[in-house]
Amino acid sequence: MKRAVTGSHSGTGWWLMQRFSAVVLLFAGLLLWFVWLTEPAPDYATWRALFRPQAMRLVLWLWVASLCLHAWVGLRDVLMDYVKPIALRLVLDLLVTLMLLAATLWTAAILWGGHG
Amino acid sequence: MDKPSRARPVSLPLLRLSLPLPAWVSLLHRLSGVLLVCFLPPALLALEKSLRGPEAFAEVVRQFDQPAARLALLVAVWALAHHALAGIRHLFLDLHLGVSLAAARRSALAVLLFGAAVAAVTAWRLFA
Repeated sequence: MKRAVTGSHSGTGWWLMQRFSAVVLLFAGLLLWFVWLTEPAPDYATWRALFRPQAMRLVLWLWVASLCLHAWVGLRDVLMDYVKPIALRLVLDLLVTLMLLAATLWTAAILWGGHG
Repeated sequence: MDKPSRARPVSLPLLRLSLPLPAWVSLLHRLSGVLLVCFLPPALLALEKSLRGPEAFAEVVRQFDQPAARLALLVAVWALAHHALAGIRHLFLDLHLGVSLAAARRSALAVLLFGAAVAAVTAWRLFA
């Protein structure tokens, strides 16, 4: 299938964002899973202790942020495939964007918002 | 033969759908992705609650013990496993590895089987 990939808006940016975030999710996800494996059934104190190191908070936040970017691209594709009326699709796109942005900010608040 | 003047109803014979294996992997890749997005807000809520204090933590543990919560957790774990495995397969295809029909069908089967295995182990851990 011949498709022009020259010029702007060829979709490469979206493709890169999806693949790059996917790789981050895979590697950081493995790391986080290993950390969780060290204490699979924690009590409250042990659980809180897991989140004390800044490195841990950063990795977890980066994971959620990558997840939101990854989901942003994915849901855009889903909406493009199934929601044909343009106005409705753009509204849903906006809602999705706001939801994912909120999730990213909320995660930062959870991790750094004064729990110590 | 005359076309009927009324449009005939369309029905999707779900139980008689016959798709190649890679098509199923692709369908489930999309479905699991959407499911995972739906699980994100409750997951963040649980995280926030679990860090609030020892009583809140105990309540989260109690809530996860409910059968409905365990079922949701099982679905979430399967969704994550399948989506990640199908995604890895996709990345290999991006690199033009395993693009022959035979190889694609083999990797599709592997993804489905590994995902099912993860779900089986998780179900055993959650419900046994």
